[in-house]
Amino acid sequence: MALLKVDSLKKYFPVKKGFMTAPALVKAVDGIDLSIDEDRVFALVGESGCGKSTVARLILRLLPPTSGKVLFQDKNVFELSGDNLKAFRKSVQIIFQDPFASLNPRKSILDTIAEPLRIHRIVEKKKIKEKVLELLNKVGLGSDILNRYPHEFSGGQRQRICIARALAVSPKVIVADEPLSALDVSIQAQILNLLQELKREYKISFLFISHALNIVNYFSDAIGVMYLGKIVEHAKTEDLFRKPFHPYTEILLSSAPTIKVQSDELEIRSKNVKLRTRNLKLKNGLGEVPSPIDIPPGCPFHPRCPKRFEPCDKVIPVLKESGGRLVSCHLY
Amino acid sequence: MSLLTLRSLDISFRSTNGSIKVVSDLNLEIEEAEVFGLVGESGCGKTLTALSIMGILPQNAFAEGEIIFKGNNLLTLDRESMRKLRGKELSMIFQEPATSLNPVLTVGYQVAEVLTTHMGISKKEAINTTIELLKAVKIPSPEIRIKEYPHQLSGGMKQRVMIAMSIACKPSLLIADEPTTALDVTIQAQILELLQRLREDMKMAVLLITHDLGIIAENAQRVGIMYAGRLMELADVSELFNNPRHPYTIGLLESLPEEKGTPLKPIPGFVPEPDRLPPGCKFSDRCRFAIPQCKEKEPELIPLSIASNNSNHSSLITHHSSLHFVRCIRASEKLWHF
Repeated sequence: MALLKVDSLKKYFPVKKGFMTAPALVKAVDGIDLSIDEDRVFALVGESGCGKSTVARLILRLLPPTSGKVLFQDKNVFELSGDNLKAFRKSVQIIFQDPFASLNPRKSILDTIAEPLRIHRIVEKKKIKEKVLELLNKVGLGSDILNRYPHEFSGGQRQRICIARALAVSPKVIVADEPLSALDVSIQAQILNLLQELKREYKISFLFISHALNIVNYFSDAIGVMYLGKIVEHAKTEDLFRKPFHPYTEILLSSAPTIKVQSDELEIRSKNVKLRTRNLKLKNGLGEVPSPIDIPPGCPFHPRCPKRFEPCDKVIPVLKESGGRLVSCHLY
Repeated sequence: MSLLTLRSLDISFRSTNGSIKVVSDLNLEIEEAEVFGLVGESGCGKTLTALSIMGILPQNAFAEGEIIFKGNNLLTLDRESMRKLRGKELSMIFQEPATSLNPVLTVGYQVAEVLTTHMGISKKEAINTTIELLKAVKIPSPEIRIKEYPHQLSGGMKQRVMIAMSIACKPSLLIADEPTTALDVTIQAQILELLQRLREDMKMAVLLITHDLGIIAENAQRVGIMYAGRLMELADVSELFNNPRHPYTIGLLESLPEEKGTPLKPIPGFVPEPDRLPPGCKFSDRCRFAIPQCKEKEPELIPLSIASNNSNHSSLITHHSSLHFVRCIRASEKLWHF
């Protein structure tokens, strides 16, 4: 059963173009459906500006939607109020990208992690410190840091503190918005391992937002590829990486640089061939993301698509099932 | 002779109680028209190395040693000669294209300025050349773009303008400091492809600074791995990825997610502050292969062939070993296999 369900969710932001003219609309999220099952990781990938973070904010009810629903345990999140809302806030937590900006510099680590415990009355007042220590222990930090302040810590340690704060209320879902991209490679691996352990121990579901495809491949169970506010391909992680269907997914996957270790000459040659075909592919699919204010007619991806053909610049493709996954492309 | 030689380069910051050395005993050579990759985590000194080559270190930092570029030691050049070199023979692009362009000047003006300053050509000629340059970096409709301001361009376009500016005088060395970190993967691939093509056309050497081993694997010929201000390993790209010998390099490679379900093996701990480095090998406190001797004396960066000769593992020498340098007393042991 789906724990969290997103149903034709839309968010348009008005942008003033000039005095007296009607504001233009940025369709940041334009009709998205997804669902996250218990103990599963759903990843959203896409280039910057495609609306992934807006989806995260909508799911957490940090932003009101233009239309659509977010159902958490079959209840529409946007209709909650009072105690029900508070219970929802307790069940869904977020970890942000920049651990330097998401901790209050004036609060000690004890206060930072104790705050959600107090607000949601998780433990008795006397036991708060004990609980904070337990949480810090879980994320691999020692008891000596209780009275220290965020500026004293490195990026990786701060991200651990943010994770401890999210864990404090025993959430069922954690929305992780690029939780690793501000960290160094060796630290990324530490944090990814930690998230993996917590998932195993507490059966937490994740909405994992990232643009690092190797990490997404490693961590997620299903993937939604977003382009200009829409999901263009929705598939199981292994299927998507085995064979991407949508040309955009294909370009994303082939753009990521990879390390291939070659044991003999033959393999080195095969790698060079691969590199060359990749560059060929890229030359056809050149260009940048168009502005979300004027999205191209027809398929929004067609100006950059190497495989575009007759109907692409006129007819908007719909997300439909093809070979056990959802894809919105006229090819399928 | 190599284009650029760094010889026992030290970079230190002045502080109230003496100076703190952040880059120590850096030796490396960059050949003409090659891409040399410099890899390391934040704070390892890779950007400071680049700034010292350009002669634009922050006020409170100073470099010692030798930076020899085309036979001249840049550290002893006077300001005026350095100024003539910078932008003409040596140029640099930065991580954040948004903050490296002047927001109140048109991009055309900013590119043309380089040309009028260094090439002594008229403004009109400079504008024509600018249009050619913007075309070369694949900016669509450059005649219109030269009149635009940086805020009107996307991140990828800004980085293209930066590249146009940096190649305007056909430099012999381009330093690219994390040129694609702020960009999306699709744009990153385009920018890297552009840099490769320009390098081939102009026979320009590139010092590519990045923390992404994938970018190095696909773009560089030789690579240096830096940790705590020191070069830990130096080798050809294929040699480094096939036969990594320094535990830090091994740790970086193991940190990359590979097989689903198998836990990652991250490097424990975090990078120490430059004034709190451990004695002996600077990586010893995070190294899972460390032995007591590691703490005693800091190892030298020596060729793998010599390291192997000194021990009983001489059978491991390959033809690459003479160009493969490692700073580790256990380099000759094959500590790790794929």
